[in-house]
Amino acid sequence: MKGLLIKDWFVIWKQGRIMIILSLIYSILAVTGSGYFFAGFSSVFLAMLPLTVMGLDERCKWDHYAIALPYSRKDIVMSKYIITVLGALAASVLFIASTVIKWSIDGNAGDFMSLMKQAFMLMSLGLFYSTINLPIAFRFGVDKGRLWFTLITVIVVAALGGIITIFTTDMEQIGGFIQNLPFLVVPMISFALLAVSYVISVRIYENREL
Amino acid sequence: MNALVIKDLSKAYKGFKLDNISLTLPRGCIMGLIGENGAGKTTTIRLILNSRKRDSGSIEIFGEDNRINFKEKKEDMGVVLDEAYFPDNFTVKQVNVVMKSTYKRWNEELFYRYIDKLSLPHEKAFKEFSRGMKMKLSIAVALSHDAKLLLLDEATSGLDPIARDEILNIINDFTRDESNSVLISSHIVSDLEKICDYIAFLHKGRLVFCEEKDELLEKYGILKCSRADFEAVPPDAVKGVKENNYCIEALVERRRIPSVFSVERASIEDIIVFIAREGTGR
Repeated sequence: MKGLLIKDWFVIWKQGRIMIILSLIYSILAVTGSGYFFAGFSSVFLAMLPLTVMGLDERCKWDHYAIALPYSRKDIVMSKYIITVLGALAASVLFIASTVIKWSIDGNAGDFMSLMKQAFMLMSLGLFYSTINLPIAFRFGVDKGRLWFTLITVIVVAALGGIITIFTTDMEQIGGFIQNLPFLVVPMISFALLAVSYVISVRIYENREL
Repeated sequence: MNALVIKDLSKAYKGFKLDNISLTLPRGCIMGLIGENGAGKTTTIRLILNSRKRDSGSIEIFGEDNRINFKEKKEDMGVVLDEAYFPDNFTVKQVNVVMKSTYKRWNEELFYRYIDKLSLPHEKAFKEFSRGMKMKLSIAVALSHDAKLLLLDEATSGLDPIARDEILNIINDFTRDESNSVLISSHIVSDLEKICDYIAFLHKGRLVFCEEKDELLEKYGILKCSRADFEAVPPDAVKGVKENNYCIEALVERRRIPSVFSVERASIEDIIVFIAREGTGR
């Protein structure tokens, strides 16, 4: 699988550089007081890297070629999930590094545990994006899957919104609930969902005709 | 041991069916898979590669079903596909780095020898390559990891005659090692006639024949005669007929033609064109 990851890295470095640069800018914006909204952007941008690579692969029909190389379909799927995890980790590291730099510039350090928690939340957001989108991309391809990405994102957001409206009256209540969860619960749930997503993607890709 | 054995292979799509294909490629031989566009050549190769699922039949590579240990088997296979390429921004150097981590027996030195022999630039991006250069690069990759079986799908189509000749020579050299075999698909019959030991002719999803090239050339001939003379030709010796106002031209089985007739040598292209024409025209 190493060859697949190296190939993806070459593609990302050339074609996805703009996304990496944007992630860096958003991370800086997030910690310089422009709001954590930008940190979320940064995380999702990095989480989008596997889809960007898959889109480029489709264009040159690399996936048809890769299947003829000594890789299993599982290897091909796994390589995209590894990039997802690396991308999400990179977003968190970027966020932590930017915050720590800002703390040292301002001369007052914040709560490091709280920072770690926020970084894990960011990572989970990126993982969640891929959890939903990668199986769709493996089923329909990135180009044909765009409509499905949009549709499923709308459904997930609407469903979450519905659940929130039904069970709570106060958004802060949810924020507080998440904040009070033990340190690693959210990332662990995210990784568990990502593992389920991987199994679904493998099953889809093993049945796909190339 | 045979390099490749296909038995009763079928695959149906909407509007097309690859119907009960059987063929055997012995080790050390080159087999040409010939057929018009849409005859089922690419489908056959994709089924061998397991990138599509067969409806029925079996495929054995080096004596084992291609669904068993296929990842390992692909180490012994070099593949060139018609329209599957490296990413646009890739250079020869990057291809080498990726393949070094892909094939256990990747031979970097041999790869660069092929690259130089085929006059491919090391630093130029793949998107700037001509089709001929792209095919040459794919062939260099296919030949640089000690493969025992080459699968080439339309590797020479769309190339100029010089590039085609270069590629055909390389393929020919590959089978000097008697354990190496090649299955090459093309609709350019003259290319395959030059290098193949066996010819498999696919037409509308069916295998019309799969025979040794020399036997085909021995078996068939072209008979040119008047309509009146043609009446004396045994009907079952005639495999295809072209007719014009002046004479009849027919593909015939040589040994069944009375010696009074003069039968010319038929090329593989003649054999295929005549047989592909529906009916004998008589």
